[in-house]
Amino acid sequence: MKEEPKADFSLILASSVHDMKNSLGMLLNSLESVMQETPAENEAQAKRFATLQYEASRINTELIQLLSVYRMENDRLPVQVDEHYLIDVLEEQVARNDMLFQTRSLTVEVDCDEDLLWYFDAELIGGVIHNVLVNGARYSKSKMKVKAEINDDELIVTVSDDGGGYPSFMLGCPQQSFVKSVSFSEGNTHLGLYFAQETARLHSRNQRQGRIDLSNGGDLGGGVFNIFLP
Amino acid sequence: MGALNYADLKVLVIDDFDSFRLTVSKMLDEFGCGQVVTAVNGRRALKACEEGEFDVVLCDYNLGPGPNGQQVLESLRVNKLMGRQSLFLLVSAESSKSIVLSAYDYEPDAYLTKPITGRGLKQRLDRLLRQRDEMMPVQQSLDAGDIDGAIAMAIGCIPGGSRYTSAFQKLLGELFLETGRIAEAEDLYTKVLEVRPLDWARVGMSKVKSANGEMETANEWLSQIIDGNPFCMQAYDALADNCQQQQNIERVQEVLQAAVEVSPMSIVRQASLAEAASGNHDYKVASKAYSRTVRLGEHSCHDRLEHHLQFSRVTASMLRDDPGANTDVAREGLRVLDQLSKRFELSSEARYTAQLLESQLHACRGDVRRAKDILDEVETNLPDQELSLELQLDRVATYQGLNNEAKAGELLEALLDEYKDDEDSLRSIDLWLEEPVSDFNTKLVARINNEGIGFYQNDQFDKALNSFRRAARLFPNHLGVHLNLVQALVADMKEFGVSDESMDTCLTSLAKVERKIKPGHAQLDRYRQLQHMVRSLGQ
Repeated sequence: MKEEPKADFSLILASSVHDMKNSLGMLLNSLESVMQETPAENEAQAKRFATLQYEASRINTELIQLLSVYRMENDRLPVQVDEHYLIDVLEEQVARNDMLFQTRSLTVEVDCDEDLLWYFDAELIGGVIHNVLVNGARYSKSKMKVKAEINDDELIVTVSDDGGGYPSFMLGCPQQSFVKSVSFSEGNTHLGLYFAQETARLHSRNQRQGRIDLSNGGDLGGGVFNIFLP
Repeated sequence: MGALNYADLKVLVIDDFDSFRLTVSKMLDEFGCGQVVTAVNGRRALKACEEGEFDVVLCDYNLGPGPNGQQVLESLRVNKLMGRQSLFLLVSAESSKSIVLSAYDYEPDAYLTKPITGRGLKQRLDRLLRQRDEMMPVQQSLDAGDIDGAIAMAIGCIPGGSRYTSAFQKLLGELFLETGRIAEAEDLYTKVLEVRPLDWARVGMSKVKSANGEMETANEWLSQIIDGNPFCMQAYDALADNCQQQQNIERVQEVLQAAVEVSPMSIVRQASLAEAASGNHDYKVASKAYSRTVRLGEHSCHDRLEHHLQFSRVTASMLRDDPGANTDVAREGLRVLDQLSKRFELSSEARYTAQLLESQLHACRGDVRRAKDILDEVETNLPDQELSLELQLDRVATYQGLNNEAKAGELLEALLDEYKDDEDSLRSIDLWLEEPVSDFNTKLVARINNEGIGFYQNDQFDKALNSFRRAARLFPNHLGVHLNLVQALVADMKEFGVSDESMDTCLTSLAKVERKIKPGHAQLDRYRQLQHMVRSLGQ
């Protein structure tokens, strides 16, 4: 008897994730319209709106990252490096989450020279920053800061907050792989950090590879995320 | 940075969702835009643009029935409804690479991903408008056709450390290449590449190389770029152009097939692939590519009558070559022909052509009576003279589809006489002949054949098969070539075992010879012998 060819489960998963992502995009869009057309009447309602929006956009980013990781593993995520102004990329990510920050009463400062230029894939790195901001919004008290500078011929983008900081077992990356620290019971797969790490690695130049680093403290006293791009 | 004057802006918002149009128009009002117009689909948008030019167009990619966002952009730019200094922003619900890659000649000024926030949109517009203002004088010179003036101005902008240096460099590089100022282009790309190996500059540099005649180096560069970044569509296009120039149509097809795999939505690329594949007589690939071209053409300003006719033509050729194939695609071909007069204004020649193709497709589906009726009708109406060679060859194909070799032969004789001094025409007639008559093709078939025989004699069956397959593809009626192919397949199967695929090829080729070969033919004995060998291998 001939054996039926088995469908590749990761492929099925990837295409279904793709579908989910599109639906969710529509959902987010409608939600935004609802919030604009019928503004919240009281604080409880505003909170519910905020939760809806936050959780939906979190699923959305997670799905996008899942797809990207799938493509990375199948060598279908080429890096399209071009020259970009950091201020444009960072401000775009902050503006994208404007509503989220407002509903959480967070102020987000961008500290970046207007003329700072660097070379990277803006879509990928934008996605990394977006994810760190969305996650940070959950843990910050009132302030976040995004900073970009060049040091030792390398771009460093730092996202810091005034929250409780990263748990100690997560510090000191990238020596430790994030996927290994998956904790289903805590509902945290650290997919975002894995994505950030792999995206950073895809940026390399003259034998130098991009990397990320997590620490606590910094200007605001909370968690500090760094991404280094040669 | 000076303040931007939003009050002077005329903006068009296109989306089939009411809520999006409403939300975005409200945002634009809040920014102080002078005039905000909305349109619910592509057709209405184009109409609005005919009535007056917009400074900024914000357009969703998915617009329901009718043209999509990219097609709206193409129509606007091709029909000059939008100058270079106007901005086109393409919006989509997902940041899908396939949308980004569908752009061919005309790229939007920006891609936006939904959901759009007021603050995000304002920032984006501020940036784009600043860049537009700075580049305006250069773009205006280009719109006025003054390329040299534009170049001079763009050069002037770079040393001042403009924020848009990179944009000026990209534009300048293209303008240098366009105007043949190759040394200056080389200088510019070298300077960029010294800082970073950016793809656009590497593609530009490869164009410098090919302009200087270093085709092989250019091709190597381009292949390397594609290896590193399979989404760099400009590299595929440049490589396909080079191969076209080198008259290596087989390579053109290969490159475009890879490009279309990555970016299937560009009608221009699909049409180029279809053309290359039909030039190579690879009718399977050609039929599929033309089918996609026709479908993408439905709402595109790049739709052409020729694509529709060619789809039917290559599909009929494909089915004649492989009588066992599924004939569903013939029905699609008939449907396309049926729609022709609704989509295009047809000349009488085009009408005859369409009818001949219709007859061919019916014959492919086994409906011989219908095929004959249509052919008879055309023949009665055809004028006696002044028929184009293409139409005449369509007649030849129609006769052959009805197995009327005698009439096909008669017409071919007449054509050979009429075009005996016209090498180009002879080359197209060759396709239908047992042995080519044009200089070019006579030499070509001899070369490929001898190459194959050389491999065969050295027991390199794989390579020999490649040569004979290619020869049989290029000269489908050449009996000797088919027999060579069968002989090599037999030798290969004797050595490495019988395979279904090789057996099929043998039988198809033998059937082709069977139909054509007449008593007394020099190859008749050889044909019988090979037929016998194939039969005994098949047992």
